[in-house]
Amino acid sequence: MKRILALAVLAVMMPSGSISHLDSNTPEVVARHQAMMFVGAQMRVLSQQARGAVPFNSEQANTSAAAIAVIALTFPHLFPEGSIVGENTDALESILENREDFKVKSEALGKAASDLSDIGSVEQLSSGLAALGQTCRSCHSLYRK
Amino acid sequence: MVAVAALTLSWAWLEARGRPDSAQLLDMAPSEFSADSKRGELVFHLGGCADCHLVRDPENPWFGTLAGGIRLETSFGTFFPPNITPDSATGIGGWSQEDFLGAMVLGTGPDGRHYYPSFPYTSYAGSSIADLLDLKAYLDEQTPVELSNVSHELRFPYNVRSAIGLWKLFFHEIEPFRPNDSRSDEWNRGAYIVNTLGHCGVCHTPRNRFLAERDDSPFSGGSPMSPGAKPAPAIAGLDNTEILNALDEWSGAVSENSPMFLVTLAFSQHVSIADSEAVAVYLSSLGP
Repeated sequence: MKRILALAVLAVMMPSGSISHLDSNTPEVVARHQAMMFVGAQMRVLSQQARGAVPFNSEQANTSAAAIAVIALTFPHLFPEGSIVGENTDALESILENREDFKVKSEALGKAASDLSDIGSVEQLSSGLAALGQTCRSCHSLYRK
Repeated sequence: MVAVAALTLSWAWLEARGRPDSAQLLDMAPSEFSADSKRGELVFHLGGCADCHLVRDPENPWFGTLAGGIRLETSFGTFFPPNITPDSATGIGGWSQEDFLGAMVLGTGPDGRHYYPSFPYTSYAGSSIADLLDLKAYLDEQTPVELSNVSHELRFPYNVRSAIGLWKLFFHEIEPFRPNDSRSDEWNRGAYIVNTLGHCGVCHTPRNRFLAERDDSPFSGGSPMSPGAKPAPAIAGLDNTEILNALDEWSGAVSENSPMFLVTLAFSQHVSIADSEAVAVYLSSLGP
């Protein structure tokens, strides 16, 4: 009883509110999530090698880099007019107003990934990967919630 | 109303008697333990202390001193983290080990003042006493900076500090982390980091109407703490790779303007891959 009374005292001092998440994935949102997850998985392959968690393997690294470069080509096409809607997209509508910049940034990602596709040492991989990650971030900082 | 208050206070007093004091906490340190600042440096980075307490060097925003830090803007007002350099007048230089444990575990200052849970002692309380004493040893070695603390600017009723004492009786459990024997060492290491030092739930767990983290849905996405702020996303049950990328600056997954980026940097630059992987193993094992 005392516990309830004390809670009541606290209750009047606190605001109320609740948050709900709506599940409303559109095909475009699904496509974007899958593309981003794919790139993320390849980045992980590269990063594990660069950080020494697994031995450096230039063939595997080249494959992952090439795969990222290919997916980067799709990015400008994954955000068509009217597709940046719903609770589950983190994309900002400013992508639509800055199409050209978004395309330039996607190309920079592709270029950084291509630059990695002929690496011979873990040191090259580390510096190239840091540059590649920076291109991801340059877009995330501007065009993601 | 007076009766309610009297009952509440008498109950609170009874309840408070059952809680440890900082001297008892110090007794919980392992026998023949000697604090090590090198180990404490890792605790510092796992604990994300710099995220709030670092006064950034304008030339290089990832460096600075621990003499205050960010303005923590919330719907209840603005919190100003204090100086945690070893300056004896304005920092924590005069603190004993007991004082430090009292702050980190009990959420109480050496003068008996209750700290606001914007300082995440609700998570730190589960840390091992050894880790906390190592952390103190590390902080003691930092450059002392003389800079007075700024008072929080909170609106009523949040500026009634004594109410925090009451809040703590309900929502601040002083329980050391207990490993789950049916899980691997890696899982338990991850659980320890996430739930204690890493204080991931502070942002990623929804809060109840008393602003305490909800036990029933840990890491299922945070509550917005200020109008218009984007709540931190759900991290329970995420894919292993997604979690590891969020902890790796090279992945580019977390943007520089996200509050998470400081955590990403700390894990990328100071935390072992084994500890990052342990965090991912634990979080990905939880239901979404």
